Amino acid sequence: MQENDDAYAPLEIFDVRARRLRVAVSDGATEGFQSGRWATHLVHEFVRRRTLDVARITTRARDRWDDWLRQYLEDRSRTRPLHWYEEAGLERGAFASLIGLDVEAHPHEVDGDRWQAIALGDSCLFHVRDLDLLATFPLSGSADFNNRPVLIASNMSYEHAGSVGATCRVTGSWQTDDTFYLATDAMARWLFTQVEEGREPWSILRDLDTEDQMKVFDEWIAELRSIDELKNDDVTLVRVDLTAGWSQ
Amino acid sequence: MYSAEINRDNPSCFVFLIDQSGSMADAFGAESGKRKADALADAINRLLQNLVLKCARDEGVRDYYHVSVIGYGASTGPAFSGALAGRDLVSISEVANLPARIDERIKQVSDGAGGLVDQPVKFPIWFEPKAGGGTPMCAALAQANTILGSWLAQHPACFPPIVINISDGESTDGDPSAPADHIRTQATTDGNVLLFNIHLSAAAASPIQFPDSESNLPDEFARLLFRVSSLLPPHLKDAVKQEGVAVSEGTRGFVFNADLVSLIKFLDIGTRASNLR
Repeated sequence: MQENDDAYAPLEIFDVRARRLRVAVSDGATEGFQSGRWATHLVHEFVRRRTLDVARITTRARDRWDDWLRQYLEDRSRTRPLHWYEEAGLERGAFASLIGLDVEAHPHEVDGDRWQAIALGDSCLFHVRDLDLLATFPLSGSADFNNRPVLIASNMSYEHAGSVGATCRVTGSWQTDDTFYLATDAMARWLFTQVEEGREPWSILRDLDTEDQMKVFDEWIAELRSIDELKNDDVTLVRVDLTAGWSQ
Repeated sequence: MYSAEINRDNPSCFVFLIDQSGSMADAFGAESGKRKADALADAINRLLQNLVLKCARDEGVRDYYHVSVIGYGASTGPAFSGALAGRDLVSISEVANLPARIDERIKQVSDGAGGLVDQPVKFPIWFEPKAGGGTPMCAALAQANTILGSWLAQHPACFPPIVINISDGESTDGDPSAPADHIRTQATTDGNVLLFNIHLSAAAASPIQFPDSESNLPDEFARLLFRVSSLLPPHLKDAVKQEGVAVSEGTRGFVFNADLVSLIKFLDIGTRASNLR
């Protein structure tokens, strides 16, 4: 469920029987070149690896970015030369947030049903049980958003102030029928505001269901934008339902 | 207020008023042998470059802004060089595609192993240094009012335009308070036009950034420019605060005796519109 410079992985609605599930969402900053591509590298590297070490995920994603950039520059030098601002933009590179969720199911072990998450930037995770909000991560309210979140840079020389070092990490436990939502900032902010104003957004999100209803999501987003409840920004929302079948 | 979305259907605008009087040929502060006019030209060219990069997307430069650069000195008028010469308001995509020339400069970048290496970078030039004549600030402010008047008639709901006036001295064509006040009373449905002033003083006094009172300003002209500067709206105040400057209700968009570093910092902050993401 997305448009523009956001990315999520895995790409399909899925029903996994494995005992481990990894899901990620990334929001490419608009002020940057090819931010959507960078966001895609980050989420793919997160779901592909077993690590929660953002530095390692970032290093892999940068390798892929560098390969892509080399090819792109070669193609452009043959077809149409770069404008000065494209050159400067590509040198500066792209920036993106990352929220990654790792859920493990080991029903026969004590504390076997654990989830862990990592985050850098303002994309958020919401853990919901029976329409109750149990946890949010890494932000905890609508006041925590600003226009200058720390993001992961595709170009290592913009890694100043240890942005990857600013990664947050959290661990929790889950039960069958719990739901996780991973959302980029505009949607996350809307969810926080709903909760802070005593409203109950989780039933709306629960009912936005299945691949067939993508249009419903789009219409709902358009409606929220039209009444100024939702900032006009890229929106990605991933719902993870931990059904009984999954952990068996 | 100050929350309108900046997009291609509802762009915003910047007007730069650049002092090109004879005294701009003097050395800049205690630093180097560089003339004020050269330091200012560098700062404006770098600012235009940053503005373009803010609007550049994978598919090209989006017209989120229109830009005017007005010089005042021996004469008052549009100050772009090259293909844009004589134009008083230009879309940011035209700015991007029509620099007067592109120089090459050396930038130090990380070598990835804790060191620095020199890397040539392209440095587009739109604005050339110039120094001669008096300081007709009233005429420049009046010209800004005219440009803003027609812009606002066509864009009544845009994010309020920002006017940045950079000068090193006293106005020679009268008290600039009235035309400056007029700029600040022009408005869109999203708030009043913002007027910021940068005073490049030859005095050896310490730089003052974004003061909230005129009590520490050393001369009457600095105090006057402080008084005619807009109060910083919340999103810019936050940006300034994030740069480590103490702010209060009375903080204004004014910099006194700014050296090159704080000048560029100020300009960067000024262009950080809160809704452009």
